[in-house]
Amino acid sequence: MENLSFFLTTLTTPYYLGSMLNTATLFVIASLGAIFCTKSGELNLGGEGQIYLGGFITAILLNAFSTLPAFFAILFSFLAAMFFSGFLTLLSAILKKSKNTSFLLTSFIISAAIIPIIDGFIANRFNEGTLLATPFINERFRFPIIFPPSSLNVSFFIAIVLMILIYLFFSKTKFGSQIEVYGISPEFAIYSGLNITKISFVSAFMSGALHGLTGALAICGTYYTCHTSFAVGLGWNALSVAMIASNNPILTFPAAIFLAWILTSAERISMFNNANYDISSLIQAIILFIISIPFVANALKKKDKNPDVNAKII
Amino acid sequence: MILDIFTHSCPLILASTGALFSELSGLLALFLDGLISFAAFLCFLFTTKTSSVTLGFILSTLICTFLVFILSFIIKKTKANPFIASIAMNLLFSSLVSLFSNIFFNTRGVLFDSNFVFIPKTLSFPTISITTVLVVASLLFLNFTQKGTYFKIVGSNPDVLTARGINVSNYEIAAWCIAAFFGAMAGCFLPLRISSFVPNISSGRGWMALAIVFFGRKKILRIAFAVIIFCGTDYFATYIQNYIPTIPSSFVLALPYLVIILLMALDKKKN
Repeated sequence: MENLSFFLTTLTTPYYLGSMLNTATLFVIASLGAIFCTKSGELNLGGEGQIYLGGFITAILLNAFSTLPAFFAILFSFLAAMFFSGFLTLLSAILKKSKNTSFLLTSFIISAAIIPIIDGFIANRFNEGTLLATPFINERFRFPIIFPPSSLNVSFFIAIVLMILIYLFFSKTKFGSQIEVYGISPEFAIYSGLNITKISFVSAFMSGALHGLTGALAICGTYYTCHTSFAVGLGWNALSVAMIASNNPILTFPAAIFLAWILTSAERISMFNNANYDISSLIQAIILFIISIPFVANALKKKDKNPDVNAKII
Repeated sequence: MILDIFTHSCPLILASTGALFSELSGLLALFLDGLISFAAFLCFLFTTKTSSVTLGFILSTLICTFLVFILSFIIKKTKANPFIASIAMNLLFSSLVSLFSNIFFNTRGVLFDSNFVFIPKTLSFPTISITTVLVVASLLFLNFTQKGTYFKIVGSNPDVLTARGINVSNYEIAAWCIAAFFGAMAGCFLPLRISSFVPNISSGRGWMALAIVFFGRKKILRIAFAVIIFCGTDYFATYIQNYIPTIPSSFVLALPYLVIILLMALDKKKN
C-alpha cells in the first residue's frame, strides 16, 4: 500500500507531476525518431548516442553564439544538432546500402563509439570547473518553465506539435505511406518502383535528427548544460515508448506518460528506500521484454485507421 | 607477447563462437554484452563465497545458460519479437549486476576480495586450453555431425528442417543457450586476469563478437581473420596507455567500435 501511494503521489505532487511530464516530453520526441526507423523496417539502437551528440552540439554552439539574438542562436544550434545526429544515423543506412551490413548492429556500434568520444571532449576540451559538463548556456537561451517548481518547459508543446505533424506525415502524405509500405514489404516496394534508397536514407536521417532534437531540447529546457551521460537510458526508453505505442505517433503521448510515470515513481521509491542501485534500468528491461510479446503489443494496438494506405502509395 | 595476446583474446574468441551459433540460427544474441558482465559478476560472487574458482565458473555458467534457456523458452512460447526481447535481456543482465552488487557488496563500484587473487601468468594455460577445446569441439560439431548441419541451416532454410519433421524452435532455443554458455565462459575469464570485478567489464566484447560473426559471413577463415583483427585491437586498446600515456582514454574506449565500423566500411558488399 505504501508503494502504491508512492505511485499516486507522483501524480498529485506538482513537482513530480511536472518532472514526469518533462521526462515524457523527451520520450515522445525521441520515440518519434525511433518510429521513423521502425516504420521503414529497421531498428535504430543508437538513440542514446544520437541524443547525446545533439545535446553536446547544442551546448557548445549556444556557448559559441552567446552574442547572437536568442532566436537565431537556438535555431542554428538546433539545426546543427539535428543535422549531425541525422548524419550519424544516415551512416548506418549508407553502410547497409553499400555493404549490406546490419542496420541495428551498426547503429548501436556507431553510437557506442561516439559516446566515449563526446565524454572525452567534455572532460578535456569544454569542461569548466569540477563538473564533467560543458559551461552552462546563457539564460537568454533557456526555455521558459511552464509548471514550477518542476522543469517542465515549452518543449512540451513542441512535442505535441511534432507528434501531430508526424502523424499527419505518415497518414496523409504519399512519402509517409511509401515508408510504411517499404517497412512492411520491401519486395513489394521494390517491384512497385518506389525509390527505396531515398526511403531508407530519409527515414534514417529523420530518426537521427529527431533524437538529436531531443538532446537539444533537453539542454535548453532541462539541464542548461551538457553533462556526461545525460542521455543514459533515454534512447532505450524512447524505443520502449515506440513499441508500446505500436509505432503510432499519436499513441506515443500516452505511452510516454505511462513509462515516465512508472520510472519517476520507481526512482522516488528507490530514493526514499535508500536503494542506490539503478532500479529504472531494471524496469526498462522488464517493460521492453513484456512489450516484445505480440499479444501485449496487440492489446495496446489500435485498429488501423488507414485501411486505404496502399491506395495512396503509388 | 603472442601468448599474452592469445590469452587476452580468449574471452572474445569464446564469445564469437557463441555468437556464431546465434547467427546461424538467424536470431542474433544481442544479449551477449550484458550477459558477459553478468557472468563475470556471478563468477566473482560465487568464487568469493565458496573460495573455489572452479565452483564460481561452473555456477556462473550454469545460471547464465539456464536463465537464457528460460527466457528464450518464454520468447518462443509467446512468439515474442526476438530482437526486442534480446535487447531487453541485455539491459536486464546489465541492471542485475548493479542490483546484486549492491545487495551482496553494498557498492556498485569495483569489487576486490582476498579470495579472488590470481597470478596472471598461471591463468594462461587453463584459459588457452579451455578455449581451444571448446572452439575445436564447436567446429567439429558444426562440420561433422548431423545436428551441426541442422544448426547451419536452421536460420537460412528452416522450412527444410520443418519438412523433415524437426522442431526449428528447439534449435533456435539451443542456439541461444550455446551462445549464453560461451558468453558466460568468456565473462568468467575477464575478472580472473585483473583479480577483481569492475562495472561494465565486458567493454563491448559482446557487440564485438556479433560484429566478428557478421564480418566473417559464417566462413571459418573470415571469422578467424576477424577474430585476429579484433583481438589485436582489443589488446592494443587495453594496453596502449602503458606505452602512449598521452592518448586520451575516451579514444581508447571508442577504438574497438571504430575498428568494427572501419572494417565494415572497407569490406566488400555482401549479397
